[in-house]
Amino acid sequence: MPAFPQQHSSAERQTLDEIYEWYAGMLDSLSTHRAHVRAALADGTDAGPRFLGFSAEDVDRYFEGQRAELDRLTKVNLVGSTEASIRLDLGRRIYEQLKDDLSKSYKAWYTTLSPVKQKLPDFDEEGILDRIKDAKVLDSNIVGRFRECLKSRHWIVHGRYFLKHANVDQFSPEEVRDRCQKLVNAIEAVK
Amino acid sequence: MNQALKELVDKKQKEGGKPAIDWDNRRKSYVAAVEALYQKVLNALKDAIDSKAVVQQRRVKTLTEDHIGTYEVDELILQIGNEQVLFSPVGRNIVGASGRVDVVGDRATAVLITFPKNRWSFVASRQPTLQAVDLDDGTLAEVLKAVMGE
Repeated sequence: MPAFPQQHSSAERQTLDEIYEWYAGMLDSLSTHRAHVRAALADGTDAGPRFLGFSAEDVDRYFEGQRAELDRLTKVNLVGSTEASIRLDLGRRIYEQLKDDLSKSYKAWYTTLSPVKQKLPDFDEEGILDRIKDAKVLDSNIVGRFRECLKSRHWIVHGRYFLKHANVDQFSPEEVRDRCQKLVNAIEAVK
Repeated sequence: MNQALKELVDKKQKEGGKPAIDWDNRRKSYVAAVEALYQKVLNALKDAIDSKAVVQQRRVKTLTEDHIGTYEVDELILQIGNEQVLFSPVGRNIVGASGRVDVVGDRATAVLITFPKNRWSFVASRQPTLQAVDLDDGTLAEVLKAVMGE
């Protein structure tokens, strides 16, 4: 039995909706906190040691930085959740020996992989996303638009020490969620 | 009356009941506090200024702040040897304080904040713990060392 991707008993899967709901809640908190610190500018009250001596510009810069970081981490989560959905879908199609074009494309490629790669197949280049495109079962723009979100994630999760790709901050979390959702929906629809 | 309208009117009425902030007075107090700071610094450096080891200059800076509007306040420039240190007012509306002046040297910038009664403090650090030290001749030396380097 090949070690196809499957959900582990310790998994804590997050759906795109759950991630976005968390993001919306964090935005609310950030907005409330910003208003609180902004109010402290006028009345001189204590807003915590972190903000002592902050001017209005400092406060705005701080919270814009927090917002940018929240956006980035949310996008990482959205793309990660989508990758997990696609990997699990691949495992399911192979395990259940489905006969649609996508499942056949997966299977033809999957059987050529080493046991190690079968457990964790490559995802982007020469990996699962290429097999989805090869199968020609969905609009290639959907895959292409999702792929554009991968560069940002790669740069963030690998420590941000190398050249920042131009599109790291190009897409909003809403845009990334939309791109991810379209891909997940399109793959689920392949039967 | 519609409940939402009633709540809005009640809220605005309560806000109207708060004592109004005298923004003009706040601006004046801040400008006076900045001048008091400069006098404190100049007094601490009096001997060096008298002997021309330190040269002082002033120039006008224009600030614009919410509620207060646009106003002018002096910056103080100290020429110490080959280095220049600029005392640059940032504004009256500052979190947890009644005003701020940045001390800008060739190597770093330090933050001075003021509290009522013209008490000035040097913000040595915010994290992991807050360290705001009252400004005196000794602290001033620390501030200058920090922004100019040893």
